[in-house]
Amino acid sequence: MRISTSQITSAGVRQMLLRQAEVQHTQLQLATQLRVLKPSDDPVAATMISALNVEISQFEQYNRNADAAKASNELEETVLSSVTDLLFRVRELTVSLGNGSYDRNALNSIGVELKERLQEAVGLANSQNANGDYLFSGSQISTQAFTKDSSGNYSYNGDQSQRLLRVSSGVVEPTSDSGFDVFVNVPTGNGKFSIGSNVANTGTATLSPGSYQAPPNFLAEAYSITFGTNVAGETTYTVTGDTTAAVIVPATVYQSDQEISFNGVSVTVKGEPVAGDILNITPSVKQDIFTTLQNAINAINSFADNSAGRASFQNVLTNVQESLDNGMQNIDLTRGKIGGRLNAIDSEINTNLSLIITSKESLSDVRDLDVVEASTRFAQQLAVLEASQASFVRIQNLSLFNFL
Amino acid sequence: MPNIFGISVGGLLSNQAALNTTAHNIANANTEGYSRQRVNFSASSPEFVGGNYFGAGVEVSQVIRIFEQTHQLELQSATSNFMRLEMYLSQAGRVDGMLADSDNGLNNAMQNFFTAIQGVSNDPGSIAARQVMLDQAGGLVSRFDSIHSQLEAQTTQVNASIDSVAKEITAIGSAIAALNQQISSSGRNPPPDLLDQRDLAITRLSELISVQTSTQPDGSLSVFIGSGQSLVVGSLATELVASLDPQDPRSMRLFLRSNTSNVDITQNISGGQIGGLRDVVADIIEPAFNTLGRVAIAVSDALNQQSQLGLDLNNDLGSLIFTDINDATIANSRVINSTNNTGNSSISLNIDDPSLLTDSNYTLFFQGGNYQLIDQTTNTTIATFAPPGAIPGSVAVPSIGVTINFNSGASLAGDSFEIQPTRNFSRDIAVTITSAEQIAAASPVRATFAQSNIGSGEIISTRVSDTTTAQFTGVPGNLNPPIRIEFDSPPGVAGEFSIYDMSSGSPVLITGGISGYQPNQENEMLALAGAPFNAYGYEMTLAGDPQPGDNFDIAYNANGGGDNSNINLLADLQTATTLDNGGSSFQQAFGRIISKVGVNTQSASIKRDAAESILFQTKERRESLSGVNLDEEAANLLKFQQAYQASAQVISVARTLFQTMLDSVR
Repeated sequence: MRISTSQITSAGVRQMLLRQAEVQHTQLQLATQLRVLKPSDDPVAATMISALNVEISQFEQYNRNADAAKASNELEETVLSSVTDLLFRVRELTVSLGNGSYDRNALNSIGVELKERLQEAVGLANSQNANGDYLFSGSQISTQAFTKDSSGNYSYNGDQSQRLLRVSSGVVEPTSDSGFDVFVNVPTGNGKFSIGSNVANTGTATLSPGSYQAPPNFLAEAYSITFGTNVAGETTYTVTGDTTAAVIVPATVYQSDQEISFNGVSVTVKGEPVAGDILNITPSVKQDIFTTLQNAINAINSFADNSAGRASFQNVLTNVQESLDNGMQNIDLTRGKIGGRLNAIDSEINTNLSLIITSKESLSDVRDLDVVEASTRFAQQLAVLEASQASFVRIQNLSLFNFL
Repeated sequence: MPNIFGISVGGLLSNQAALNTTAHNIANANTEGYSRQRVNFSASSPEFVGGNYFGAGVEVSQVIRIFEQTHQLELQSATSNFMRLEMYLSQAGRVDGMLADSDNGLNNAMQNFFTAIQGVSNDPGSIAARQVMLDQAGGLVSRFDSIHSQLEAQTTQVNASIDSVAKEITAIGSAIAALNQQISSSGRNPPPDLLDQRDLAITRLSELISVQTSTQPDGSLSVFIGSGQSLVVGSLATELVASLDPQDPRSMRLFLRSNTSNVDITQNISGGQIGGLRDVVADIIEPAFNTLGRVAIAVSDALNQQSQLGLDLNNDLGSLIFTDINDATIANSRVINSTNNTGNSSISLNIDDPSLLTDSNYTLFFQGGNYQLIDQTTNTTIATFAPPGAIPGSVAVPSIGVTINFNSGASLAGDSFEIQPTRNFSRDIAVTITSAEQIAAASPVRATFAQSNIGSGEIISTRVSDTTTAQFTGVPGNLNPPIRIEFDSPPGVAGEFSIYDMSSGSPVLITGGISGYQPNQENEMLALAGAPFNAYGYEMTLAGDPQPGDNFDIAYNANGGGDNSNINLLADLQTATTLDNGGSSFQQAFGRIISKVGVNTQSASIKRDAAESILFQTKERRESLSGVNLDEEAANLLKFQQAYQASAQVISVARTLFQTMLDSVR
């Protein structure tokens, strides 16, 4: 084939330009340690890189959420653990109240401690986080959760909402519990009904906490156990429904320590009632634990040191202890939930971390440069470039005119 | 009898001419487009003397260029193909690089924005977290805007290039016409250097646009562009003019203009730089605009809708976070009237469903009393419909999720409108809320389980679907009315519950005896209650076993600063498939432009390399035949020099002969 002189130049120059472009691309790859410098280098990889980057930042975001969720659950757990300790002490105090010594001074000193404990409990329920948000106000974070009005009643000012945070693509974990759920939504008495005695009672009858087992799952109405005397002069009791005024159990001879059962209710009455005395069985209502404690304090304050007073005090105490147990149970339940959440969050954090590692590995696979391969390639390309330069100079020097 | 002097002088002159041509070749060894020339010798006509023919020496018959027409044709097509791809690649590479740059790319800004939303979710009452979210919303918007303006700058530059290329085409066209004039007037044996110049001009023209040529009997060359429109005929050249599209002032149209006609050849243009510029606009720049705009529309629409279902820190219903996608000005700007329209219709476009939008632009054409909506990408008719009976009126095109509004005026036959549903929203999007308090993190309704409830009924969730109902708008800062759902009979006994109006604080019965509550399943209470409750715009789901007397209140969530339920729904939009008919999230849809541009650029790069190689080989073939080889010319120099010297020697011999003759008669 015939070759023109300019061909010798253009072919040589073209080869050098192509080699230089290759060298420059490899050099850029080596300098950035990246295989894919722009999407067109490898569009499939570029799409994957973009998707993996999004994925990794999402997982990282979930873990930031999880850290925040963990922190707030842990804070709540710390507060509730103090509440549990406190309620144990209160429970002890109420037990010592019921040990029958009934020394006025002892009662008073217990009353003083109960008051302190109540203050402390309310303080814990009104805990705030680092931002000054109330922990137990639901979504009303700037409203104090529990306040005491002028007549001494506690009221909950928050709402029932619970904050949630997404800790992984499929899992949402609560980060708060409302004060309603923790402190307020506690049934009184044994959970089905509470007991009480008429203030005008003169006898010494006391009620056991009792139990309830019947469908439906709740008492149809409140009941009164009224004591009387029959023609034989024996003490009798009659059970009537408060709403329907129906006689549930007709006059029956009373014996101490006897179980009275009707409509699923079983209670044991002790002591010596006097005709006209009334004991009450009321369906449970939801009552905050502060009011329960306040009831105990009120009972101490109004304690009358006589047989009827002791019986009435005992009845109130039975109820307070039962309600307190329910409250403690409820808080234990909440703490159990928090523990479950913390476990779940930890496991999500671990899952997210391993997903992050997997995604980062895939990202590295598609995006990062195989440095060994690239260095070898670079050396090879440089050698080829140098060879083409050297051969170009040699060929370029050939000319017949040199010999003319 | 031929004269020995005559013969040797002929030899001298012919070889001198050959030496001159060799010198010309050597001098032009590096001239672009030059074809080496050769002097053709032929023996002079012999003379008949004494029954024999005697040779009469040599003469120059022709100076020709060594040239093959097929090489030139190959070179033209290879050049225009290569230059088209080269231009395409350089423009596509710009977009490619811009999208790849992670600081520039949209996904980073999007991620930062959603991270900031999660920050508010972590701590919904914090003004600082809200301010960060507001700032990141601004960052997202400015990223949209900056990519848009880079694309816009590129479009402007492409349009300017098309204009200057058109001017250059016109200039080269007239140069070819002038060369035609000289060549055709130079007779039977045209000057090789002029032919080279003309071929070079045509090769230069091929760099700009794809051309076809045909040689005329008088030696002139006609040049055609597009699908056979003549740029040069003989010594006449027409002018190629680029002007802004009357339909869409953002793109260019090309016209061939002569004294007598003005032909629009925009659709027929291909190849060369101008073809590359037009292809890159159609393949990459316009789709990038439209995808970007589509993502911006989806972001704005989804976040705005969810935001409006929330409650902000000022106890107001949520407001728009971003520009309303159907803002009247923006809706108007989506439809561009052709400047050739004779009617006076004013048309705008509303977007109903961003997930159905495509990356196409559309043409709305009025003909025969009907409008035709044509997809410009696929060139198919999407819809044909009559104008609405009354103006103003609207026609919905559900297949692409839009509604066309005919605001005023009427169209006349032949009127056309360019419809660009998504192109500019990445520029138009802005953050509309101004203060951190306006971020609607909370739900506007709050459900409360009464403390006195004895049954096991529990509130599973509340959900807000529409805050434009009278229940939300009637009394600002409150529900109109707040309601109570109270159970009258145990589940399973017909007439389980009643709904009460709680606006006065004490219950006032609205509807009683509503049946259908399924115990221990999830019950949507307002849907169960039927009209009008199911149109209140919110819903409460109850489960469990509520008992008579149990009640559940739904009220306005005033001061619910710690509620993060709506901000969680906003955060979930990051992964929601709001685009591509439920197939892509925001970031996935944006990822699609990255891959689309990447694939197009990569394939252009491969094609460009192939075209470069073909062009090189074509040039090599031409050079191989027509190029000057200096060694060859050096050999020729020696050859012709020797022949010249020999002819001179013959004269010397003749002189000696003559002298011998003279001496013999002395």
